[in-house]
Amino acid sequence: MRRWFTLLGATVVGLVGILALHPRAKTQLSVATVDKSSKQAKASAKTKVSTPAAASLPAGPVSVTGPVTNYGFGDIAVTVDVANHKIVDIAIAKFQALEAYSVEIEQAAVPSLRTEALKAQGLPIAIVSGATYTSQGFAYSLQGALNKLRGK
Amino acid sequence: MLAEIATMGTVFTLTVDEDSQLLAVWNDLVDEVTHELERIDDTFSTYRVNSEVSRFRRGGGVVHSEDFDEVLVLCEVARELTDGYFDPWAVPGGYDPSGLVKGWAGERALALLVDAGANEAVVNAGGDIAIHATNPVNIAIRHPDEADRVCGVVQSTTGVATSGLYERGCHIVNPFGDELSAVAATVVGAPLYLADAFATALIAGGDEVLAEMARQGQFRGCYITPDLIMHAIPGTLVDIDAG
Repeated sequence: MRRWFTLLGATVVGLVGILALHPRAKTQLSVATVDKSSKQAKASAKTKVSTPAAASLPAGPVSVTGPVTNYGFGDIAVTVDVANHKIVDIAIAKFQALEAYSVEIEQAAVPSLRTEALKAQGLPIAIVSGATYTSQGFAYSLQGALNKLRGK
Repeated sequence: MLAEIATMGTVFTLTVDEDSQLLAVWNDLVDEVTHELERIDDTFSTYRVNSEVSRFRRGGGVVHSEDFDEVLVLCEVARELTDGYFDPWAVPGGYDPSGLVKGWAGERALALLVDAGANEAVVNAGGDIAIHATNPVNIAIRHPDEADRVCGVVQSTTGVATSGLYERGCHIVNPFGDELSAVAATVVGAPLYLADAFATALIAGGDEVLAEMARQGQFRGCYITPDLIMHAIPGTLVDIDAG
């Protein structure tokens, strides 16, 4: 029933992949059907933002790069351009990507289970992750029902 | 202890371990979290005409809060890391950080519980879960078509975010104009704001985003196609007997 797929990709990132603005070597996946470079360009064009004046920002124009922060999978620094007390652009100044990779993606039919069935398998559930519950929807949601069981 | 807080257009569920010292201050703590979440909603709600985000969308000349600018930067980080599939600037009506703010707010709420002394705490921010725990917590994923059923279990000590097209309809757009790939997506790991953004990105980008996520190595995750096939990074879901 369960099938395994392998997506292969290759990056051309060097050992020290410290690159400038939107530098990340793009990987071509076997499933990719859209030209990613054009999408990246489109996305970059949208980066321009214009925020109204914030009292704490300098008159500028000035470009400030924050400290390089490790997000767990690579190092990132964010550069913020300020002019006339406004943030006019935000960019990722530095992204140290990882080396070449190979990704397996698992595929299987989605089961439909009750929490009781999970408990019977030694997986008692108190928390349910789901898309945003509206206040009304919550009353009928599984999380709402589990909360009631716990006396709330 | 358990508390429900209705805010931000959803319901937050707070849970902390029973033997914690928090019982004496629990009501005050819930009030503190409630005020913080309402303050965040005042800043970021796209449904409130006078929120900072709404004024920003109208191009109003307002002074920004630190939170607003922090989220603005986090949105750009998320857009970059998701290869543009999470794009708050591509939403009709202008800049909309909603796809990230709920996870971010969930972590804010969790931090208040932990700062107050909770050893084990979980905040369910309308389906996005912020966790502070020593041992992995079992989290069920809601079945996309059946509100009273689940379709998988993940384990985490940090966080789980789910985005989906059920309940609020088709509110997610593909920034690249293509069709959406998924009806629901779940991302496991922290920071939760980024897991939340990746879950939204998976709805749009499917395998492409899942592979990028696996490559970056920070998160595990899965998504469900309209014909109810689960695509997952191996190791995301607990093996269960579907009967």
